[in-house]
Amino acid sequence: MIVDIMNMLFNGTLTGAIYALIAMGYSLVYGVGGIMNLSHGAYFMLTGYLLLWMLQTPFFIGLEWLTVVFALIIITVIGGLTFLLLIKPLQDSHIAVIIATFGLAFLFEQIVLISPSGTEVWSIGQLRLFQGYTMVFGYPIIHQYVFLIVMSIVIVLLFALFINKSKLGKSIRAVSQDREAAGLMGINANRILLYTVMISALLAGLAAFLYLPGASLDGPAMGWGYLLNSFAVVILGGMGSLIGSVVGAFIVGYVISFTNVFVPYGPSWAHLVPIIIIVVILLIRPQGLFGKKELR
Amino acid sequence: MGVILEVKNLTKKFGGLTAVNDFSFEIKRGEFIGLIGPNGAGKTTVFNLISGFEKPSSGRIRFNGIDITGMKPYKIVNLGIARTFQLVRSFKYLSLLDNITVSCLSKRGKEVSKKTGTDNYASSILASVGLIDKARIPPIILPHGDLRKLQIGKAIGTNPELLLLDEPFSGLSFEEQLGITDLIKKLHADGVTIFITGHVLRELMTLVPRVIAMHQGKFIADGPPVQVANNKIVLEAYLGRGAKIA
Amino acid sequence: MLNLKIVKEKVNDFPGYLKSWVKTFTGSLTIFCLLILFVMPFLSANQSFTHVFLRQFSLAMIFAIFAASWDLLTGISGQISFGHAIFFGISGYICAYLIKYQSFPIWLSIIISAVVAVIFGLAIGFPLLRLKGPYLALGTLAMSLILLKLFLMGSLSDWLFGSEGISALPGLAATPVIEYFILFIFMILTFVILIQISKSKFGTILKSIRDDEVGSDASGINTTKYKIYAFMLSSFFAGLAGGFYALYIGAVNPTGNFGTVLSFFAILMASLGGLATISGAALGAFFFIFLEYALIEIGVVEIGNLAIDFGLYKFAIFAVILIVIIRFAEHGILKPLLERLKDLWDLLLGR
Repeated sequence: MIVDIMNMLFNGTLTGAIYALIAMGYSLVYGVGGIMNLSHGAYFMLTGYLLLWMLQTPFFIGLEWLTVVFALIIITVIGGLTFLLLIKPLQDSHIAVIIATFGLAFLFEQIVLISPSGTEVWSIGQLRLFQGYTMVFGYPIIHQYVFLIVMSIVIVLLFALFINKSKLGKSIRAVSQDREAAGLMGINANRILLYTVMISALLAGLAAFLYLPGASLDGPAMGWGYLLNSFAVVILGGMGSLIGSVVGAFIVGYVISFTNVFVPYGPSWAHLVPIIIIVVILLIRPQGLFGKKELR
Repeated sequence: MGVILEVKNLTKKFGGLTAVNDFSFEIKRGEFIGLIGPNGAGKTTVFNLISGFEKPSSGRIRFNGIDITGMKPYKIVNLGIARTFQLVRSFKYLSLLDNITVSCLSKRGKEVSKKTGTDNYASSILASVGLIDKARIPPIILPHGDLRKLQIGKAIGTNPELLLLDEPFSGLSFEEQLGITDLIKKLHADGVTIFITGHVLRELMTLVPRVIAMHQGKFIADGPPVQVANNKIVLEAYLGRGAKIA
Repeated sequence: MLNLKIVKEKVNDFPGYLKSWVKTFTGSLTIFCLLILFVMPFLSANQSFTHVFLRQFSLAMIFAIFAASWDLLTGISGQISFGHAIFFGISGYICAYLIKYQSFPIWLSIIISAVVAVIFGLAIGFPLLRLKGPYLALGTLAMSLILLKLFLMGSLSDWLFGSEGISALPGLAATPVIEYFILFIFMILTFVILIQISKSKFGTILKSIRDDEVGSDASGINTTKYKIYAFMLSSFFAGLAGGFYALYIGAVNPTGNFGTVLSFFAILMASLGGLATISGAALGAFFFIFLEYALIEIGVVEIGNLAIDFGLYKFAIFAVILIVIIRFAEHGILKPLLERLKDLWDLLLGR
């Protein structure tokens, strides 16, 4: 029994920590620019595979840490390109942005599928910073994941500091509140949006670096799962609310792990949890926990 | 000449902010009334509450004796209240004619339009607002003044008894304002009760025989324009303390 | 909504209307294409080649119906659906079940399955109706994923035929040629109905909801009612296509009938032709089905040291095309294409 509770608590916290990072970026882009970037889940997935491909190249042997640096830079750049090439020109049409980013996510998935590593399960365990585990109340607590949880909290706090205190952070908040007014104050809204999308990609990449070395790369289709789960988190927490993303992430995380451990046939139902959350929340409280009501 | 609209103790709170505070008034059928107040006074919220786009926190709204508090917007339209919006909206991928046709296809609009045919009826409305030569054009390329006329045309299509016009003059040139004014006067002459908001006093004051003033969500004054304009509280609301109209 | 007098007028007008339509460039071009399609089965003497090639056309016609149904919901009514595979798949499964396990006749199964798709359209429409834009898109995607997972895994899936689905279904008809003509007729019927709807006053109302739902509300339109109508119509035709597809393939299984790829195809094909055109969906369907066929046929090509497998790359290529179309030709290529063709035609005729 205790083992089950430990299982639930630990994995719930783990899932929450991962999604806090991914969902924060997703929610940020929506809050600032009103944009739903459907290729967001793909950023997470792509970072994992970028790391894998670089690790498979002889050049990086002995220089594994460099793969992380490069992967994060590349994914941030990809985020920026997504904005410049797809999102910015299509800003006026919601439908167009959604379809375009959906197409992009699909393209990323296909590119990975086509690549030599696309169809099998791979591991990037070389990037693990911590090995081993400790038994706590009969449940193995994996060190790498503890590191993840700690780092995630650190990143969230740093990000909160950044958003509230730094010049760029304040500009971002200004644009998210009133784009026109921010423009009148000399803030270039498009430039801010660009940085926002890049930051969101970076956060997703960080989450991938923290988590995937301890897990495995199950195939490019995982991107959709992360996208959908992030969507559930952001819907629950409230679109555009960063606190909401973090709180929502942990709630979703615990509900999933609870389902996994305590519900009969748990793992099958656990897949459905985020989707059920989406449907239920959208029905009874579309603005989520911390979000604003849709303006007329 | 009965009471067409009765608003009692209307209150709307958004979280901590009280946008409309215990607001009450009556409008008689056939009247031409203005609603004035500085920006943020709550005028648009009052319109939203009457037309069903917001639900009041408390209070009652009666139209022709029917309680319409909290009713869905389209149902209120089909009872006889139409409104225009402060920020002009249109069906951007439809022609001007089709923009008006939609209103003519409402339940209430159909009662009139089926006599002459929907297209004919919509055309006549488009002509009455002076836009018939642009019937096939989509609204995207129209100047602001024409878009305001279009909005009024769309409202006419539902055959309203009461027309709520939200800041119909804002952003218009002097000529454009004259055009709109003529249009509104003609509607009034045809028997439509007109309730119009504005925060620039000059146009309204010369147009309407009666004005209701509000400030910070509260009722301040109700009466002929000259009287309301000299009301001390109204002056303070607009101009700050110690101001007088010379 | 349905005024019998107007319908009678339209029916009486029809021959005149048809005559004037055929005289237009678009009209005659359409008739020309339809004639070619009609004659296609008789063109080749080589039976087996014809049958394979013909079946590609049949597949294209099925997807034309599917994509057109999506265009009605998303392009015309503005209700973004990223989970259209739901209606397609449900109908396919019901149709398969009825034919194989209940021995219903084929035509009855197809009708019933399309009706079931409509019921699903209602069931899904109601909760999702209050969602707008991206929320609706992801909501429909989520719904389709739920169905996919329900059928694919978990305890329920055994009850729902599991991951193998239902197989060994009879075909739509005895020969590919008959199958072709049945689909040909249904495709024409579908497009006539959907295009007429889009041009009608009902279509104008749907478009008003798409362009400005609040404004439509303020014009006295019960937007909820019309959105539900749109969902029902769209799911009916999507269900029709789904039933045909099940019989075309001869089997149903979760990934094949509920897969996200199918929803992607609907979006892809309709977008290529042009949102809200309805006819564009046919263009898109034929284009992509034949592009897929061509890519698979080309197979692996060796350029120097590189071996490029076009068959494997097909979805990536489709994704790129979708992105490029949306980015540069948001309104699809049908209208510009028709304009260019008309100019060419006028040029040839010396006007």
